[in-house]
Amino acid sequence: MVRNDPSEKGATGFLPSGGARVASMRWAGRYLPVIGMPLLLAVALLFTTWIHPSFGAFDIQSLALGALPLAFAAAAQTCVVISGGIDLSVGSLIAVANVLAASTMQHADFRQALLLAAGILIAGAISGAINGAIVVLSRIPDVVVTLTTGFIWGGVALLIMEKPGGGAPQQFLDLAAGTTLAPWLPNAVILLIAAVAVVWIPLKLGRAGLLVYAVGSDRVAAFRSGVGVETTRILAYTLSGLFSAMGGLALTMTTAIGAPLAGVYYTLSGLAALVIGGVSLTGGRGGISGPVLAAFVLTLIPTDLIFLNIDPNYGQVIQGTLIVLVVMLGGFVTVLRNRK
Amino acid sequence: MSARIPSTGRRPPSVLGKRSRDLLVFLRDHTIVALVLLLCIFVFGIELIRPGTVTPTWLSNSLQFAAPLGILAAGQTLVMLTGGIDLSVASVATGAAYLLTTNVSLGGFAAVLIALAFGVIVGALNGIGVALLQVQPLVMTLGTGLMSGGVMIVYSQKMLASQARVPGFIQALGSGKLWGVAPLDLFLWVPLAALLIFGLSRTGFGRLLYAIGDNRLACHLTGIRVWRILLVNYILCSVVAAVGGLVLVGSTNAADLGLADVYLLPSVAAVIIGGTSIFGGRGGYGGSIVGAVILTVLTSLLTLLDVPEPIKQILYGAIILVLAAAYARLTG
Amino acid sequence: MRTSSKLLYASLFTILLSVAGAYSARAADKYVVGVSNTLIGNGWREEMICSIKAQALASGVVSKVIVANRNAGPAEQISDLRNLISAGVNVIVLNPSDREALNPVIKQAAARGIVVVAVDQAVSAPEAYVLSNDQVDYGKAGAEWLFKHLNGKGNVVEMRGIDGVPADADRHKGFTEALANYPNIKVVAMPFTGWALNKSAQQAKDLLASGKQIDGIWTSGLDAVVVDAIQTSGKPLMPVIGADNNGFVGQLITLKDKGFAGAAVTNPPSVGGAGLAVALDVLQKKGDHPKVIKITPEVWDNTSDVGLATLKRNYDPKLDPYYSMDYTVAPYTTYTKDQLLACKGP
Repeated sequence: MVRNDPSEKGATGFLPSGGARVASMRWAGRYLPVIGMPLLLAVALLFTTWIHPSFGAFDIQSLALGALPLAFAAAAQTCVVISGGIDLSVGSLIAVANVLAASTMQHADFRQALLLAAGILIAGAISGAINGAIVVLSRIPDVVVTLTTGFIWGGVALLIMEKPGGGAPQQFLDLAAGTTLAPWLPNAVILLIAAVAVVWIPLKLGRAGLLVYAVGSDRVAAFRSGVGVETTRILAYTLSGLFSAMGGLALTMTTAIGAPLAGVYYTLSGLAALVIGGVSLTGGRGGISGPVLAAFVLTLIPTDLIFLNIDPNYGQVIQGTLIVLVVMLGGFVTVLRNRK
Repeated sequence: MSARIPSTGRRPPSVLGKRSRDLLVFLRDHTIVALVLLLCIFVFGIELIRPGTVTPTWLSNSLQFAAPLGILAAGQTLVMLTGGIDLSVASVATGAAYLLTTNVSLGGFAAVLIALAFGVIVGALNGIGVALLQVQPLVMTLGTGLMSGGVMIVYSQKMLASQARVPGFIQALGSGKLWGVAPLDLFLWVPLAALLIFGLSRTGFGRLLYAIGDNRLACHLTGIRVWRILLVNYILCSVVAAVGGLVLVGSTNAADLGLADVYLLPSVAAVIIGGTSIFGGRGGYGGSIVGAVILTVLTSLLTLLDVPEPIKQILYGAIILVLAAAYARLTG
Repeated sequence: MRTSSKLLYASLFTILLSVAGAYSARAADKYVVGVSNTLIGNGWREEMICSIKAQALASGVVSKVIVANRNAGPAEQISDLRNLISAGVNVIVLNPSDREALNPVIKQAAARGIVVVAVDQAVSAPEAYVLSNDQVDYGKAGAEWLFKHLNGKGNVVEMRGIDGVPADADRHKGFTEALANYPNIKVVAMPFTGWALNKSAQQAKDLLASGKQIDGIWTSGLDAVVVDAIQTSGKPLMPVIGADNNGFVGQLITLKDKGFAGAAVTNPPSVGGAGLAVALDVLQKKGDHPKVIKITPEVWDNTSDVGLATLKRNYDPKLDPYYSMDYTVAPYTTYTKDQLLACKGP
């Protein structure tokens, strides 16, 4: 998304002065937000190849399989955050979709599995809508609501499957496996792009997307302009539920089992991907490509640590430190700008 | 957090009779009464389900179990009053407990100091981010929570073959009882609570917390150094969380990397149920105390129901939602 | 987010990892060992990893040990195993979180010539070696001792581990087999501790305070914490079954005079090192090993002279309460006790 909003450009201290500054700021403002995240991913991949020269097709596939559910979690979180809210139940919904899929698909054939998948997507959207309805109707802050519903959905996941197990037909699993178009383009990535685009592009181009951004950027102003704030917020949560369901299905495809506790990681990491991907938590700004790409970067971290023979538990420290550094840098720049 | 849509009037629906409306208004203005009433209902419920359970021993056990949550909720209350939230309290509590048990060889007192210092460091980090750099508290504390959790995991790998013990006086604090009746951790919690309630209502610092939560910009414009107060506040929160972790490890007598994880949601819930608004400027610790006891009693109630673990989890979450919603409706 | 800060952050990320990269070792001509464990903060598992490192050092043919050690379920372990394969290991020693779910990855690893050994718990993949304590026997032997000690009558609590992992399922199988011979023994509670100390302590406390009549407690390795809970609850010391953990062994010795009876069933974490030794033998084509190697647990009780003597001989008050006293698994492990305690790889 390109805007001539001066706040989108970098801190003035880093750029040349005068007319050249204005021109380069406009260029930076227009293109860097778009290429910033892909650039970061490219740097990360280059670095990985440098420390591990035999990084090949198998490894790209591993990366894609590992990042797929996280990318959907990041997408889910983005929808809600852009509308000005937050969803701390993303991980639990992923777990519910995962165990639902693995338990119902265990003895199904490919066609039945696809139908079940469609059903689970609808169920995910409905769960998201329920989240949204509770947030809007109960007047409890969304942090508290989604923290609690996350807990509830976690219980639901355990109810469906008390311990890891289940399965899915091989053809369903093969949807995300392997590479058909090119050795460096895993099917998982194609699946991801297709799934996200199918939902996001119509939204972005249509009126609904505009409403979501409006509600996120200034809720009171949107209300006063006649926007149905409550319906829009419920829509955002519905989309989050839909993407979470996709994440759960992706998890089933990539691991071939259902695990009720698998979701715990995705809530916080999805939020991390969101922050690193450049979406502002105040709402109304950002796109979906940043967080999705950030999901790949985050997945690359434990892999790189293993290649470097560093304890992969440092991965959590690094993830937390990254969030802290990124938001602190962002805050620092804002403060600097406000000061002048 | 973005502004709220202005809501319509605060009067209870006129379909209720005058007595009920007066009662509702009374309850709204004195929410503590409503909370204590609710607590009594839950305790009564326990007695109904399994008669004979509610004995003085059970009461003292419940209070003993509620103390760690109550202490964590204290820190959370401080932060929520200013319109923030602290998602790192669980990691700080766990970290403090872990640091305590692995540094016992330096002496009990030194180990406690190290544990508290951990709280100071994380709290300072939170405070710098939120107060100085104006980062959203949710994300900042999320990041520091992940960081401290990760640091503890790495630290734990290095500490294994050495002897991790809980010092005797901490064990007594967490699980001991005076004359077999009065839980020792109450002797820490009650003075802390008194200090907090007094501090919030009578000292300048406390009043400023409310002021900042209510209207931060106005405070800034009147020349108050908002950043200093917030910094101190977040440090206080983390130190209190560290204390909570010490009491907790005293009751379990074993430090575990997931020690306080189950307390994160309840610490937020206890404060919300207790009447403090997450937007800041309203509430107090008294309500959080009752909220913490209610949640502890609720856990016992669910344990007694003898239903499968997942159902307990669902019911727990659902009840918290209902309570929070009822509270939001009651206070408009 | 500000674009300049994005670039700043990109360089930070690169610098961070470059600095770290400077510490990575490069060696050739020896074997690279990969380890996958899914439960941390647990003394037993850590000792298992230490035994792998010590054995790697003692063998002299290992250049480095890469450890993927984090709290994880099967989904994450699959990811870790894939990363280990990518990292070019020759051996994978894993403690599996699921009996079947890892089979596809194990198959991929075996196809690349990697020797895979599952320790402590079994996997069903035909390509993998399994070296573990006979967990069915573990459950059965301890339960038998307990039921016999109670003279065949009473209420017991079965404190289990993590639902779904092979060891827990196997131990429960053994427990149930023993239970079938004692119709007057009733199981009044069966909580899952998740092999987490604080959860175990909380559950023990709740059970003791619940008013239910409990005559004995069988634990799946988190033993000392349960005995502590009994003591603080003020109830009389009932018999407890635990593992060969240092703290519990100490309690069996010191609390015997207060009327505490119990037994420690051995469950050596050094199966890690033993598994590695087997894998290295297979790699170097030295000697034949069966695909499944089971170790028979011993029961050290404090009510018999022999048992009490064994307990006293193995107790070391200087070590962590959850450090297992069973240091070696003969004839596989070749490291010394000091090497194990040092916990350093090559």
